[in-house]
Amino acid sequence: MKNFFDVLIIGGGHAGTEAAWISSQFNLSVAILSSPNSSLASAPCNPAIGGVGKGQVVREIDALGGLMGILADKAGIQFRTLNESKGFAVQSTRVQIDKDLYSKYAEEILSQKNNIVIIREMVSNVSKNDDAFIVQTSTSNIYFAKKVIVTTGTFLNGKLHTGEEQKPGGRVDCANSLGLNDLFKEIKTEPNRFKTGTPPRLDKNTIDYSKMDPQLSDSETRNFHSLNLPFSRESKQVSCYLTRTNEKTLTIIRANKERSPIFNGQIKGIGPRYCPSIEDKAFRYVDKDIHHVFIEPEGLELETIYPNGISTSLPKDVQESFIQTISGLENAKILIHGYAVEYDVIDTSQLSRALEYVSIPGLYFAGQVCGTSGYEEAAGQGIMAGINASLSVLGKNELILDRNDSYIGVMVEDLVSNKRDEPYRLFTARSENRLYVREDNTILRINKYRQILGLNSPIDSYQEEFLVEVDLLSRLVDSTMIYTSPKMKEYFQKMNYGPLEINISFKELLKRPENNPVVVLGDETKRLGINFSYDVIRTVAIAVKYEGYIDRAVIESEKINRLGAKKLNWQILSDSKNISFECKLRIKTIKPETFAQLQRIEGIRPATLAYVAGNII
Amino acid sequence: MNFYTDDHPIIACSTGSLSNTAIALIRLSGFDSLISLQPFFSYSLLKIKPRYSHLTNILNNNLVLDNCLMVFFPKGESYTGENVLEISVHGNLLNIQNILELFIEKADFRSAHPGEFTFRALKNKKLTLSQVEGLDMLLNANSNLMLSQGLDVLQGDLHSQYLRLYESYLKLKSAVEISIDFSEDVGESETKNLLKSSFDLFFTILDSLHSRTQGSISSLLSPDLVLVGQTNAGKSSLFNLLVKHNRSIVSPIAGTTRDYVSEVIQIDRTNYHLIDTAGIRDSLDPIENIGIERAFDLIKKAFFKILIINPFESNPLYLKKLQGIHFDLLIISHADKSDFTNEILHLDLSNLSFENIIAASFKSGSIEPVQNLGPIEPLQNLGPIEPVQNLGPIEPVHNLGPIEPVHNLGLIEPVQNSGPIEPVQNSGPIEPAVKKLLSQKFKNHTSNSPILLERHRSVLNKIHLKALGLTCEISILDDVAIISSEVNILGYYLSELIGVVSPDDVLNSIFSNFCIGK
Repeated sequence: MKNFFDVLIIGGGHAGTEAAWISSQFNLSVAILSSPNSSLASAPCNPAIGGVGKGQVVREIDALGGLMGILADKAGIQFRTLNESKGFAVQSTRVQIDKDLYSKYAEEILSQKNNIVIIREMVSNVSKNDDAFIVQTSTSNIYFAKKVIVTTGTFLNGKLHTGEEQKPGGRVDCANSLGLNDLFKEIKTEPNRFKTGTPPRLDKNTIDYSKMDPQLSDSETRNFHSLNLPFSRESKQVSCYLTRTNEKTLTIIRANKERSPIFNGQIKGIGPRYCPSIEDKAFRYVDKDIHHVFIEPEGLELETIYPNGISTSLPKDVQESFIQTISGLENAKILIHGYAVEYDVIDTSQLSRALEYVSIPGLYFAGQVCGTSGYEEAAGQGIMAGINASLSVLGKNELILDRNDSYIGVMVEDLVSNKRDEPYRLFTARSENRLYVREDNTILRINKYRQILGLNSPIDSYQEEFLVEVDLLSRLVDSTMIYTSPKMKEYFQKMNYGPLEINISFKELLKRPENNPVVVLGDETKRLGINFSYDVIRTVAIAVKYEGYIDRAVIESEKINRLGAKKLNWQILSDSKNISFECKLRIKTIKPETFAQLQRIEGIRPATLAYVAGNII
Repeated sequence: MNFYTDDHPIIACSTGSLSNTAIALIRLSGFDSLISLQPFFSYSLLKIKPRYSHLTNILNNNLVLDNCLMVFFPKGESYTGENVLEISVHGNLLNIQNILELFIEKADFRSAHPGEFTFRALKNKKLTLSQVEGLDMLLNANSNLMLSQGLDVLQGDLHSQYLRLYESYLKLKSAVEISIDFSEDVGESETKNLLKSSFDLFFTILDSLHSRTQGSISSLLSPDLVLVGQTNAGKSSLFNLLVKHNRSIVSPIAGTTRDYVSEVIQIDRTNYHLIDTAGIRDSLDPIENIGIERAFDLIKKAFFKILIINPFESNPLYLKKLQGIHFDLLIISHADKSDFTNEILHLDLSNLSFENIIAASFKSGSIEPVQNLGPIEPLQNLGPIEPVQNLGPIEPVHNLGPIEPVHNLGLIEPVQNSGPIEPVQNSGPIEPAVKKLLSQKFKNHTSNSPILLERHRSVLNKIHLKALGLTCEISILDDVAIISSEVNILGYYLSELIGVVSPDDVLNSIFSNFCIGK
């Protein structure tokens, strides 16, 4: 068997498969080392891909030539557009997936590539000599690689907690791997410990759905992969259901505080604030007893239901009693109990923006091992690490996505410019340029990066054609005027376009708040007998709607950016009398070097910012 | 920033220096080592203890120039952040001049520019921008109001209110983010309510700050008190009366034109610019007309406007010209004349607008209260004549007690440029009445503790305007993405307010106001 690879990836999750897939496009030899009993691209937590901000990432991955969109479309069993009523810029796609199908398709697609080898062994050591990495496995095999990408997820030194029970493990169904420093002797920094959790899985036949609000699949939600027809569905569509916790549920949880590993000190790792366990919710929002619980099928054939919103590491008996207080779950049977997992994460401030470990060139990290949470975040880093490792093998410059035009760019920059003290999740709020970084214009934003890869796939010609059409329609929209005439006024009235007292530009019509620009542009191009695809119309119309707002935001944010670039001395700040203790603590750990970095530290008070700004002018 | 580019050692006399005084404080800043200044002092500078006073002679080639106290503030612990030496010398103007010249000629110091010490303090991070603004106001205060707000700003009190606004803004911003990123977890209606309530809270705090920026502050920062009336109406008498008893120690503000007579007077710890407009006559002379226009502008802008009418010589054309000006006080003079009551019956006040009215007598230089104004024809704005708001019935002068001569103010001498003003020998209670009205109005206008810093006012107005625009968007809640973008812009403006963003020109305007030695 071949044992020398251009790119070797440790880990076969969402980051690992994405890295392998894109690397294989460059015609390099690629290996995935994945732990023996786990399937590729598995979804050990919620069975969904996408979400607010994350849907944008999936489309960015897709436009770069990634795998996630293809898999999610194929395995998608319920599609939704989130924030549908809140404006185009914040709309995001989310797809519930059949997690078995998802893994199956991943395995199928990757094994079709002749230049990808999937090896199911546990890694025991990684070292580097002058020209190659040497990867040893527990079965005493040795592999060599020019570049190594580490995508070990929650496996490094993983420890599982369910109430008082704790045992080593990467997931409930998998063994853990060695700790960061044992695996990589050359990495000197101490790992951080993070924690994440998952809810109990319920038997789908023991749930009373009649007591819950069904949430149907939306046939108007567009597929992720750009070459798929937008509304085609490969898998059967099913519903999710909504139910809620109540006072009884929370009373049980609150009464068992001492038995919760999060609160009794058993878990030292820090969990994500934005994806709290039900225990977190119980003690953080003491006045609130009603929390949403989404009942999500894990697959068409699977017996398990994922109750989203009640992740927990409470003891099994407590889980059983509180589950049964929830409407519709009175007789629900728990098939797998909820648990929390603690694991090693690396110090991402040691990574370059290419996700390469700065002091060990050729070693890349991506995914949850970098302290992020979420499949999409993992995949986004995976594809970037894969691209950069491959470009590096080919002797080309690294590819960095700008934070101003992509969520992947936002994420990578946030990761490497900052030490984090909790798992990182993408939100739209993390982008300064939210009105521009949308799902509908993904190809406009990402094509320039895709071109740099120098690959020639069907998506490249699709993107090229799309951009030509967008440009054509944009110019048409820019140059069209509407002149008043009795006939035109009558037409405006008929179409409910608002008044037409003076001549207006076509753009003005699109921007009128009472009009849906996509519908208006669609109707008008049809009236003029011009034939553009719906996607092109949508992209152009939404761009017109937001252009004024985006321009203004850019002007105002520039002032801030100028200040953001100013250098500061964190050592002086951490000794300052004028800064609160808590802020100083954060400044000491994160060591910001510019004002912008200081601003991005979570929990920094405005008083501190004002004080610092006042002192660095 | 290009005010003062070098960091050359600077020197200036930091105390007022228009006349000889007992003590003057000379400040030296930015010298490399204290020891290098040894030739100029008899006291051994090696023995100097920072922040302690030491008695020393100042020497010029071993010749004693002065005997003085000096205090040394080492680098990092001084006002400017540089090495600073403060010498308290005898305040003779010539003496001060000699000492300044000594250091400039022989120790390579240069005269400090106005505000340069403070600029260095800012540059060396000893003061924040906001503190500099406060200091500016404190030093240039025309009233106790400005003094206290200057100190507030310097100590950061106003700033903490801005921070409170900023905190409420952050809540609003997070409500917007929650409605975009977490509405599924939190619930649609909850996020909507949260968004609306946090906007309401933000807007309430903003509104109370914004209300403090309403009205013109130029009239509060340097309030004008104008006297309007025809020749012989009694303007000069009132002018002299007010000047005689209230003259401010501040010299007349430079740059006033000669179209009118002016003087700075102090009433209730506020400096007013008292102006006697001679400009408005019934002439058709075009050159005079220019003067008239200027006088009109001046009157309109003035904080407190007094119109004096002599009912015996009143010209209806003249009164007609004053249409559209709202006077704070109308004084009808010559009330002592026997047919006064008869005369005012013929007086047409229908086109005039005023807040208060009193009848007064200017007789042989003295002012006396009038017992009875009698009936006057209804005025357009006021209806029957009793309406005088603050004074009740027209006898109010009674309340003010017996007519006594006001204390002589001592050293203050007659104004040089007062020209035609005739000497006043005596005064009556008319003056306290005017003062009372004036103080009352000033208090009313400052009861909301207006924010006086122009930069803060304009940023607050900008924020308020933006927030008003948002009110509508928030109530419709159509496109949260746009709301969030607008809320972000609001955040940029707020950062300007709390000083996170400080456009360079702000510094320019602040430092152009400073006096030398600060």
